[in-house]
Amino acid sequence: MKKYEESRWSGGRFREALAGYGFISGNFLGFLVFTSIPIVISLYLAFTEYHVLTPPKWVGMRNFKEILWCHYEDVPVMEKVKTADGNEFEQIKMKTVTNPDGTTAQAAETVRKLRPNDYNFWHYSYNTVFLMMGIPIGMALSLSMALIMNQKIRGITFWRTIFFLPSVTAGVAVYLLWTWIYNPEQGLLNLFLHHTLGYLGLFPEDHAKWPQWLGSANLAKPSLILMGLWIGAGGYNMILYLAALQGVDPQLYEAAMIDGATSWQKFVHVTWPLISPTTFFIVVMGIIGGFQGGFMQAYVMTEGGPQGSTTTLSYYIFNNAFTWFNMGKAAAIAWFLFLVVFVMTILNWRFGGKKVNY
Amino acid sequence: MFVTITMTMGWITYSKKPHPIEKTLKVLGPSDASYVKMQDNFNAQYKILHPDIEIQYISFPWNNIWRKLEFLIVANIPPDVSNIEQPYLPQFVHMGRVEALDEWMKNDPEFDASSLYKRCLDEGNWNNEQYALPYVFSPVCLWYNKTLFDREQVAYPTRDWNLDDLVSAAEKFTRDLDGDGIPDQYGFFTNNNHWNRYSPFIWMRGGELFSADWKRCTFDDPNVMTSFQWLADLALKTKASPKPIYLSSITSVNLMLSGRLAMITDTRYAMANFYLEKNKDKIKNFVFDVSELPHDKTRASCFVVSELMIPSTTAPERKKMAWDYLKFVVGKEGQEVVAKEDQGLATRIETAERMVAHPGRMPEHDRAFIDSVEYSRYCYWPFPADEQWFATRSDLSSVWNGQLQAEPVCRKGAAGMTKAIEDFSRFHPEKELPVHTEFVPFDKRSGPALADARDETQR
Amino acid sequence: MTSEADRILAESRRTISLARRTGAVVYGLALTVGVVLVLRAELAEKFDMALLFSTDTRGAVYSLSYSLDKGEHWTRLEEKSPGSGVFALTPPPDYRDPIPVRVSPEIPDSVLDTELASGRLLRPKDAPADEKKARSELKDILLRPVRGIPCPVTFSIDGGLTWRGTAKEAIEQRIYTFTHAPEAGLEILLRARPASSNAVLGVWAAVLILTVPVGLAIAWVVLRLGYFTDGFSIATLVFFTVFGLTMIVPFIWMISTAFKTQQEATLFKIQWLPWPIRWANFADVFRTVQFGRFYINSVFLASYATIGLMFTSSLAAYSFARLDFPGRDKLFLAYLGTMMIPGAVTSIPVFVLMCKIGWVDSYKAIIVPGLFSAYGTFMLRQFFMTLPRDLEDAAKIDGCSLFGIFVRIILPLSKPAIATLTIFTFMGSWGDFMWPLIILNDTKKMPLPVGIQFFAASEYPDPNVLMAATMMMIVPVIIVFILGQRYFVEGIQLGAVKG
Repeated sequence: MKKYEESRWSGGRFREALAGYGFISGNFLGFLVFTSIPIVISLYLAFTEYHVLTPPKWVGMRNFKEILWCHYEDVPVMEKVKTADGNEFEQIKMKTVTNPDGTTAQAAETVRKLRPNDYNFWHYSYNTVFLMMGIPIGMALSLSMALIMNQKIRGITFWRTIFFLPSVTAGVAVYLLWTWIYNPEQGLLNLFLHHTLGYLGLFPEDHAKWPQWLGSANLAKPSLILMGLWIGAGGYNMILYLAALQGVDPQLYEAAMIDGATSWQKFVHVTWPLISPTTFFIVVMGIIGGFQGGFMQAYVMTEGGPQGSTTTLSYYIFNNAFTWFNMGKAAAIAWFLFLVVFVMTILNWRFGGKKVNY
Repeated sequence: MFVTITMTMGWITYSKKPHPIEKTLKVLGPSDASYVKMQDNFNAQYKILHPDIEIQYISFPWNNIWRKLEFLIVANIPPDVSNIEQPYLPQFVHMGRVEALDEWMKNDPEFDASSLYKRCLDEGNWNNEQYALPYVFSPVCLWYNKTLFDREQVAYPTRDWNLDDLVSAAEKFTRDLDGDGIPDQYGFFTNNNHWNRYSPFIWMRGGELFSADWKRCTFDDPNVMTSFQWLADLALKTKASPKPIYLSSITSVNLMLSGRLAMITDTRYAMANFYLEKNKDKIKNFVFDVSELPHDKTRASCFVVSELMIPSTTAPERKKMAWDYLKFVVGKEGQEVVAKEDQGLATRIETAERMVAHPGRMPEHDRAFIDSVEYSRYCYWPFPADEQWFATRSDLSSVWNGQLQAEPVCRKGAAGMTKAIEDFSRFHPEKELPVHTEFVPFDKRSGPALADARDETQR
Repeated sequence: MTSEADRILAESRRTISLARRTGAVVYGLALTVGVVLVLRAELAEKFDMALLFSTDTRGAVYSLSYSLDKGEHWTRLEEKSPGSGVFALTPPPDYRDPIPVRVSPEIPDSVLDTELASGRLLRPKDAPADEKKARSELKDILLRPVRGIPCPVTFSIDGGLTWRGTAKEAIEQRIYTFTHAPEAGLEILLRARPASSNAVLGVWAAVLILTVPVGLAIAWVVLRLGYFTDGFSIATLVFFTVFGLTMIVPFIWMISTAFKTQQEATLFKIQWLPWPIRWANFADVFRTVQFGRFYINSVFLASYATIGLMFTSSLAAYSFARLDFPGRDKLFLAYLGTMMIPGAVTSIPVFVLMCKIGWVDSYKAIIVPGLFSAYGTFMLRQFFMTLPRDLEDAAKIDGCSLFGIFVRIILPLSKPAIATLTIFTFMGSWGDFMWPLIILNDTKKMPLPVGIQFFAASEYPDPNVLMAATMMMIVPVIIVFILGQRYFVEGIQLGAVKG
């Protein structure tokens, strides 16, 4: 038998290696051409200015400076005035200056401030992070659903199917449906609230005062979070939690009950640690997805939102790359996003990994 | 089995009927019914002149057509000829996507630049190069209800009116008809949310919206601020106009058609509304006519224009085909098609003069449009300031409603737009924004670069 | 003693079962009565409408007009001759519009004659020559919208202002109007009157009688399924019902809107029951945009992508799982790493590549990049690694080639995983939005998600047509899911828990 293990490249192993390479060849080709080489190319593009038709021009750190850095600027001082109908308007504060020839003129008061180079970038990053706030809420919701569904009843499949329907259908069609639901005049949400809360007098009668949901800069993001919760509450996360819960040994619960623990204590000390791998997985996936997400909602529902309040980084990248064809800047933002996701995942692994101990 | 079905379906849908690419001209344009109809007429006429060339009209909805054009150019499948609307032409010129037409125009003996209105030609002229040729346009003029004028016994508007004449005449019409204390009939209205309505009134007073080199926004020029305030005061201080909020559910044209508004400013395309099927019986009840806009320190008006351009990445042999088509559209036969459509005016001088008159059909003084060409121009705004332009526009709507004064809004808008332009220049230092220049006939051209400021005589 | 205990036990069981039964009955009835309550307002007005119109000309008639500063306001009208049901608006001075006339639903011929002769009522332009036919058509035009078919009413003034509401509101606000097409130059306003109370009560009685059996049926089902036993309290069932309804209600809303007319879809109140049902919404979708083409494109792209992906992924997964070759683990780690890369990073260079080789705006550009998926390879590899090696070793000894082992042993054993992966890939490709959006430009080639968004954003469809389109996209997915949900659930657990 020894001679079969002599050389790594003896007949059998060689054939196996060849077969191995052969089998993965198609996949590997795809991997090379569509994943690994593009990663390198986009890193190169991030340091260039590139508009597809002309060759890329090396500009070094300019793209990154444009999105991440700041500069000093003379900014006019703003003051708030009240309009005739009680709204506020921010106008420029003027002061009188005397010209060299003695006449006076009005000029704006300015102050030297540090301004970000690309204010939009920071605004959109804030949007992206804000939208990720729905992840813990969704997790809690899915967990409670799973806890309640963890019972042996006939017909539990029926309920599970119903709860899972929103996630399965998620996509452009559901976003269009929710755009219509969020319509302030004729959509289901406002009409329903008017019907129910209106009877109690909590909802304004005047159609103009109804919440504008996707049309209001303040409410647009919470609306998206709400929709995300609806789609995700009974979905994948719940199934994962169900599976995890079913893996918990019932003897542990009995032991806890013997010790006289209340249900809350049972949850905190028995259930939660035992399902922490699933929690960890969901959090990591949520972070990875959350940073890259929000594109479809922004594109289909709000076109970036009232005054840019629903634009996420991935929609910004899309616009830079495929609407204005600023490939360089788009690649720079994409790589920034990748680095952030990478760092967050590593951090999560480090610190979250500890939670997985039980 | 399912697999084979889908695969065969795929092959069926995949296989295309071959058509000779060399003999097909691709034209990109909006999918509006009026454009499609005009294009069909162009196609029919073109076929008579060039029977072997087939025109393929790529139509796309209005709101996204510039993305489509950009995409097609970037993806190396550009159309041969494309419609272009003015705000986007400088943007495409800046990116170097538009073919310069000067050489084509100079070397082609069949093309005569002087046959087109010079003002229209100017609109496609940037950095001293002609980039697009206009084929249909329409200036803004004053439409008025003659019957109402007769009834109230007010003299008809003429081109010699100045702005005070306009206001005093308009005030004569405003009255309460049903006795509830609120006027139902008004004298004048201009829809101030549209740049082509308020810009003439600003230019008339000598104000400019942007500096000539597009580096600064001059909304805070005293002339501009006074003009905006005057426009708002039409509704707030004088009795001439209704407040815009009341017209949110009924347009000014419809109000005029109901016989309750005496004068509006609009382009020639408004006529389409008057002759709509559903309004036919309404216009039986009154006579409408057109006059040139009143003047202030100078005369000014604004026009809308549609142009055609050739993307620069088209293959050279196809550019010749594209140039032939362009020549056709602005030539005699193409312009007759435009004039027959009777929506906008033909840009070819001879055709427009010949075919604008329609005796026996309103408006009687259709010539007013042609007469106003010599002092009309397009209202440009620099494309980096797009977002701020729209933000200022929504602020301005509070001015029209009397919530705010024009001055602080204008100052804020000027600061915002200037800053947007500066930001853009900071991150694109290698290329300046294109400068709007004038078309100079070839025989008058002397040496290198000519002055880029707007001609003083236009003021 | 035992009989005593037995008696107590039996009695307690009876009480429990009585409590169970009452609980179930309460639940069932609550559901059905709740549904009826919610639909109460709509049903009332739809039944009201059907019993409404009569020749009774009592009651004041108002007309809607519009003034610039007051907005809408109502003016009262006078009846031309008592009992005729014909009203006229005294025209204010200087108006030159034709005089609006009101006609009662069952206008006598004599009155029609008088009005026609006087020129106040205008004959429609394309009236048939035969006098009798023309007259009956005229009456039909006047009467048809009213005859028992409940529908919302719309007013249109000056081509600009419209008021929309339901017949009920029309009655409450004393608006008895319905605009006829103004080509004839006239506004015809029709009268309506609240239905008699007896009729309405009768209808309500019928509705309530129906709800009781349905409620009891639900109760029976609930009991049979074993709810209300120990550990599953009524609170849980109620919670489930509420949550389930929250999940379902948007879909019900979508389906109901998909059948509405445009007027009903844009009412300022919730309407659950569309009436009249407009099947033409679906035809409208196909007419305005090539929806059928989108479907075919989606199916085509998804099936190619799925088959190709299965092929490459399973081969590669087998290779990673069973075969040993240099660099295997490092390569696999690299594969895993790419799962973390945002799609945005790779899509830019791939797009540029497609531009350069001329694959832009073609199906190739979507299918070929979709043939590779790290996720699929990963999932299958994990699954293959759990398969026992004995069969393979036996086959190797028998002299089977590696490829033969793969086809004959591994594939049949991993049917569930492959089925799950197929379903997931198909669903993923079906719903893929960003990449086709980037790479395609020709509307004929668009798959369903991109096509439906294009339809919504460029054609500005009415809500009912838009909902019809979304329904056509969502309902097949729901059906497929319900039929194959086992694979979904297993697949999620397979992919995630083992990772």
